[in-house]
Amino acid sequence: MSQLQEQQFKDQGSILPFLRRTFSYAMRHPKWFGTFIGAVMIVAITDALYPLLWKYFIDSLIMPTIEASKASWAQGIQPAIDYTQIAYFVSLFLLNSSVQVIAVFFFIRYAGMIEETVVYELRKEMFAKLQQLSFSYYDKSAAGWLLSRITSDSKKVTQLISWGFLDVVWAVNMIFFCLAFMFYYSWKLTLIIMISIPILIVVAVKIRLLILKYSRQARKINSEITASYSEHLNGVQVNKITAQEERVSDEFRGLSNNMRRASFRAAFHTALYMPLVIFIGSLAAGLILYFGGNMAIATTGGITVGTLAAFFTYATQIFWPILDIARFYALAQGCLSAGERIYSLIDEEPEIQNKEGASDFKEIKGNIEFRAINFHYVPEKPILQNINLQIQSGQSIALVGETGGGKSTITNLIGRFYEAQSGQLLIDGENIYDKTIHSLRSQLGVVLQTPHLFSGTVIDNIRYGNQQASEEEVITALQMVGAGEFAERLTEEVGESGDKLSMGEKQLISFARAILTNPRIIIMDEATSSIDTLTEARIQKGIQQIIAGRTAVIIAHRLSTIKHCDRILVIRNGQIVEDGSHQDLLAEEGYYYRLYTGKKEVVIG
Amino acid sequence: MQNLYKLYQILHKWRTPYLIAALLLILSTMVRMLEPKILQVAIDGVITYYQSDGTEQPTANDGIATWIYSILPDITSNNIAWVLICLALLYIVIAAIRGASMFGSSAINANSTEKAIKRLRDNLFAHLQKLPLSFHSKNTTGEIIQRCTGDVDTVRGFISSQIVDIVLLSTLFISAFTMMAIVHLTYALIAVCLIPFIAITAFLFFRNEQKVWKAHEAEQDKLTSITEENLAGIRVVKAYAKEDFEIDKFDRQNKQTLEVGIQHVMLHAWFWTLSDILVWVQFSLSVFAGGYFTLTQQITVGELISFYTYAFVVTMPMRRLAQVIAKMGQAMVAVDRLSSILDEKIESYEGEGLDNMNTTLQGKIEFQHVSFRYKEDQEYILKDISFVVEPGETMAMVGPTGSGKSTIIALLSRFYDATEGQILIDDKPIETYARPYLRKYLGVVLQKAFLFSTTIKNNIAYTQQDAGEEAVIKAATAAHIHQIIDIFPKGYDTIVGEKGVGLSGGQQQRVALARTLLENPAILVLDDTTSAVDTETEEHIQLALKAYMRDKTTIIIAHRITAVKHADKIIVLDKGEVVDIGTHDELKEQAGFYQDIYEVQAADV
Repeated sequence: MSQLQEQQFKDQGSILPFLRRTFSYAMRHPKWFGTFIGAVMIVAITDALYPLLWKYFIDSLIMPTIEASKASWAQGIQPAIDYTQIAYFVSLFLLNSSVQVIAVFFFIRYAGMIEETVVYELRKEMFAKLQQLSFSYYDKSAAGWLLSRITSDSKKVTQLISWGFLDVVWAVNMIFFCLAFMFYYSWKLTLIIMISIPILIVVAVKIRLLILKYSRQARKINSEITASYSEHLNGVQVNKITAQEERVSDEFRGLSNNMRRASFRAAFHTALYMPLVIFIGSLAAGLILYFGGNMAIATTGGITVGTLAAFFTYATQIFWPILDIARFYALAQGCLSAGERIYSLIDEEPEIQNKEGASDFKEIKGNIEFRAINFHYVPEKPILQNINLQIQSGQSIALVGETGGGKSTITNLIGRFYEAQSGQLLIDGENIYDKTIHSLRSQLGVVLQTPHLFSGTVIDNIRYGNQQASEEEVITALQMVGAGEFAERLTEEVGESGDKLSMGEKQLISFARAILTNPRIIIMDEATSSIDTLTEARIQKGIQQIIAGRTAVIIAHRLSTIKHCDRILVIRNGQIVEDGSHQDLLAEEGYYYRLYTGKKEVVIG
Repeated sequence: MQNLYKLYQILHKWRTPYLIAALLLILSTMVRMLEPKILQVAIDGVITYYQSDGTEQPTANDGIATWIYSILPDITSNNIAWVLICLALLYIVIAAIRGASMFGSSAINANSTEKAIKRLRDNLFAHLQKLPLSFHSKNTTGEIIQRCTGDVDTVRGFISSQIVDIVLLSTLFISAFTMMAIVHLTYALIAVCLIPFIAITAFLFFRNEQKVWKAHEAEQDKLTSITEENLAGIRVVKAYAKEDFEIDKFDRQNKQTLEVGIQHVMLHAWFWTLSDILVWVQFSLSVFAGGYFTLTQQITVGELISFYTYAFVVTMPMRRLAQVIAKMGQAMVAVDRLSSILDEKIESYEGEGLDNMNTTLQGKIEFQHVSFRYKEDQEYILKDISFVVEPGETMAMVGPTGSGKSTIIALLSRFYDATEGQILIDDKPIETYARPYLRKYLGVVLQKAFLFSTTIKNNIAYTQQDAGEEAVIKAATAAHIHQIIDIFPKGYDTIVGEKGVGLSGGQQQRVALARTLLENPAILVLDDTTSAVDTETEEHIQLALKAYMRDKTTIIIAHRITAVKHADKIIVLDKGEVVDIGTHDELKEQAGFYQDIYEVQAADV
């Protein structure tokens, strides 16, 4: 039964703790962060200065000179133009832009550095945590979900503190300085513009959140679409063989139409956004035109033409910073669940950790003892009940019984991949929970049902547990497991997850990998069930080699694999019901006998 | 160009709405050009008039200004307020028209685009379902999904924003330049003189940027596959206590990604700085020229102020245009890749003789000297295969991996056509039957069970959506899976995870078997169907199947002697050739492959 369930993360979590924690990552680089904020502020101030410079240009140069020239013009004479005056204003202009350009360079540089570095750090922390977490965590979480935290969630969240935050710092400063400059020249006109600000904020945030809502819907459907592609491409052979192509294509059309609807809704609100904002801005500009026009004409308490032009620019431009703030808010909302996913992973406590003061195992001899062990994955379903078991060093033990009876659990407990809820597990007389995990597992060899290889060469994979092994040792290990022919193929690439090799080949390599570490205890969990009979017959001899002189615990369906073991344990419903050699158990005429003779009857008939 | 035509083919059904959207977009841009003119009129006409106490009459140097004056009430000494109100209202009305047409354009565009994209998605999906298996085995699922999601998104982005940007920016450029040129051509030319350089730098940058971006993506992909592999093999990592090794491996790649990321950032920092410098130099030139032309009475103060806005509007977006053009390259690649799927030839769903459509297949299968190879320059996979299976008979095929067993099934399912020789079904060439018809009568249980991520019930009733509970349970019982489903808390409504997470390999095989049994085909093909099932269960299944297969033609592929020994006929294949035909009793006495495996498996006990 699947225990997999994507943890549900609320979208309406509180945004402040999330922001605080996310920004603490940026704060780890105070110099960058400081320079970044400083540079953005300079950009905002210089941006706010442009309309002002323009105003000065008109009011201090153009208008007076025109006034002065009017008399000459009336006579048809063009007075000499004072180029130095124009050049003076232009150079002010250039000075302002030079400062701005330098600041732009720094803010892009540091925003980007913060983004890339924080992504790096988040990924590093998450990956390290994933290596620490116990099997029980992986039972609950599908690899795909964990992967997306490292790849996409981390990117999303760091965008918020780099480029997203950039918008906010710029916007807040821009609004502040624009208002300050405006107040200086005319508080009345400034008030008119200020009326528009809260309206703009409300409208922008409202629509932004609607867009967010619909694009979330669209994204969700989009992932269903991807899943549908994936499923019906992987299962295309089934669809063809059962002639279901038309039906599944029809079903897909329904899904695709949902996607269209959700996408359109998001696009519709996006289409509404700018026009509405521009319109509100134009209302403010209209008011400036009326009141400012009146004030420009008025002889007392009036404003200059340059001021009017500057205010007009401010009125039509002030919505940009507000849009940026709204965008940040929506972005933060959108990142909330990604953030929760990241932090919940980083905060996850590994279930199995070294106890305080845990000491290393010295060389393990291989005596294993279970004392009154009880174990369950979920409390309602006990798996092992009061198991007592002694395995002598060098003994080979086979575990037989139905699926779900607790065979794999026993091997998992020996490797401390899970911990028993009660009872003691001793190796060489020492409680394994008082020892370090690393010193136990490094002396353990495990071969799993589905062999997993890493991309790289054959020899890289065999050396996985023992990097120092020489080529001769690798070849010896291969020969021992009956895979001598790989000696010629050591530098062959195995492809991603070993995909270029067949299942049987992969399993042979994983045998060699296990044997190369020269483990004292070896565990084989259904190690031969994924290979065909002929290959198995070949490996059989290898297995005898592997387990010779080691403590071995073997689980297998095929009785041929296990009948040579020193002891066979029949595990049923979490208890050891039979224990003895092949001959002993046959004589007992119990479960093992029935299993064995049942098979015999079918084969020889 | 050819790609543009292909894009047009995707969109041409909606060409009228797109045309309307484009016209509305152009309208909104042109209307926008009137906005600065209003301020110009306010300053030149209204304010100058009243400030000079009516001595200076408003002047209009161009058609648009004249038009605005003509709408306004006559400017006299006692109607300041009224004139200003009219100006403000005119401004607001213009903004409203601009906003409304912008919105209309975007909404219409979004509506058509989402419809076009939906159709593209649907076509892709249906096409993929109908493409022959040879296509699917050549292309990895991940790659196809990437095209159908990522590339479709790229195309969508191109239609909904990049094409819009191209139209918008070119209209903007043309109209802003025209507005300036009708007032003062020289000034207009000066105001745009650096724009080509800005555009070219931007274009060169974005081409370069894409290279770095690709490198960045490539590094991220590597990081993703390292993570993916690690998560898939986490049990191996822990078993070998190689957490630190894995963390190191990840960290190396993570650092690599960081480095390329910072390169990417620096590229951006330099580009935006450089292009900002160009923009501001261009701007300073305009200011200088504007000052000169105003002071020499060639333009008015109001015109100077409106030029400021036009110059702004013309300069800033030119950097974006370059980005759009660079992105166009990406979109064209996407279109190309999508059409490479759509241009693939699909399987024919017609038979060559349609008269047999209403009859039921009896199930006689005959291979006459069938040879097969995938391509002409490749080796034969099947060589001169001949056999006959009478209706109701059971034939088994055994042989080592790669001997051609599954290829025979693929030919029988018409996934491929025989290169030489002929396959007869009910004494008629297999080509007579339309594929869906043939496959309806053919029940193939594939070697690798594939389940869909829906409920177990839906999986079993995959081809018979209207099958009742009873029929489903009956099929499940025959496949010996009912007892297991029954103990799941949700029973038949248990959802199978993606690719059947949560069910063991053997359980998945049995669900797939139940699916085929429910179909009640005339010919039953079991391709190593019970390989992952333990011996005990396999027996039960065989007993149940025996009754079921009585009146059906059955082909069994298996590795276990127990699964094939009761067949009426066993053919032994090796390297694509039939090396032996006979019954179990005959074959086990002859030296050969069959005897070998018989002995290995008999030694099992």
